Amino acid sequence: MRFEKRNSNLEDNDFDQDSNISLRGDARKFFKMNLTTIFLRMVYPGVLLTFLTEFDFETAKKHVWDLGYRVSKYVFKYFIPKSKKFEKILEEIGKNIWGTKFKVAFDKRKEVYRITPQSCPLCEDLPPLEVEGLHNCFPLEGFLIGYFELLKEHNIFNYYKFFAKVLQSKGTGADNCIYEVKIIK
Amino acid sequence: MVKEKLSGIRKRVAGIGKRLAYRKMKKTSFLLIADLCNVVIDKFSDLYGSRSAAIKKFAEICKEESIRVTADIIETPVLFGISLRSFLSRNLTDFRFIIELIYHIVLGSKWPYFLAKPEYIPAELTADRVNKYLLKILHCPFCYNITKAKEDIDELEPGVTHGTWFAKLLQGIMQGIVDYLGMQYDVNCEETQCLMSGYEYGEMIYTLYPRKE
Repeated sequence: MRFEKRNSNLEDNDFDQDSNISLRGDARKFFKMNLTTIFLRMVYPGVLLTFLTEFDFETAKKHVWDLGYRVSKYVFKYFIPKSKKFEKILEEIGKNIWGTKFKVAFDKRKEVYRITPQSCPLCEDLPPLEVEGLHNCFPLEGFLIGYFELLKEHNIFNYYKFFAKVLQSKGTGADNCIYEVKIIK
Repeated sequence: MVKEKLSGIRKRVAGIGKRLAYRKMKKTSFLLIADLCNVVIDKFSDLYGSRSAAIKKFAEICKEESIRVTADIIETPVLFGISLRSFLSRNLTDFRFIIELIYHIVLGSKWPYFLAKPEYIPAELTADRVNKYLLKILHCPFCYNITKAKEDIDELEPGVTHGTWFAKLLQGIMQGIVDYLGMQYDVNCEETQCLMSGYEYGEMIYTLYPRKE
């Protein structure tokens, strides 16, 4: 875990420079707090349901994906991994952000990484999602793509193209969640 | 059977139980979830045209879901077959203890950084003669890093604050408990002070309106 000074407006200033309003908490302290998934149950399934009932399936899917993509931009403000290796970066994200261990295996034949989390905060303890083609942890696809875009932008992890996909999810009845990542260097 | 008042022994057992329950439960980063909530509001702002509409929409979702989830959690055995039900009582002074218990089960032992101990204001001491609970937010994970706060505040409709959705989530939790206990109250929770408006602390007020026959 590392807090980058250049990204943290909390360390040097007590005031938000744009509004002159005092800042309202310390990211480092919140970062040490873990939340049980009860809270997530109260906010997340209802949001998914809203997207699914108010939009057509493909649009709803895009919105769910975008949640993860946008979260990655917030997370990057306070968490930047120490390592520059893909497996290690994932290990750090899993441990510090996702609250779980990621098991990463490389499939030589397909040239893809298979990521299996020990547990998934978006799937476990949440009601199963009975919608074909959409998983509770679908935002992770967007999160990984968004986060690695920022790592590339800041010259922390370089690649030519990055693809991420949720292959299966506990929330739809599978034994584990599995995500697939392909990196073209 | 739900107790009329919690005994000292029961409170002590709950004190141990809350720690074990928190340890046993699945957890994730608080900031990740706070970010997710902020992103949902950003997303809803794009979809429903304004930040106020987004907050109101999200508040509606949180209220409905939290009533349902609370009812579910009360009955679910957390540890050794014991559920939260064993530590509920119909006594309004015990509600402070119950709120603290929930803080600990959801946030763990670090909750005092985020929230202060709840205060109970009995009906006799309030102007409108209804029971109230005062919840103070000492540091806010939902807005600590939001910049250009003033413009955001100006943009909101009267009666809507950044924490409206969180107030409605808390309202749902309390309403779920009150309904489970068979108490005839309609719960309301409003954010009366927001840290982003420059107050020293955030403030939410629970009001328990006696239900009309």
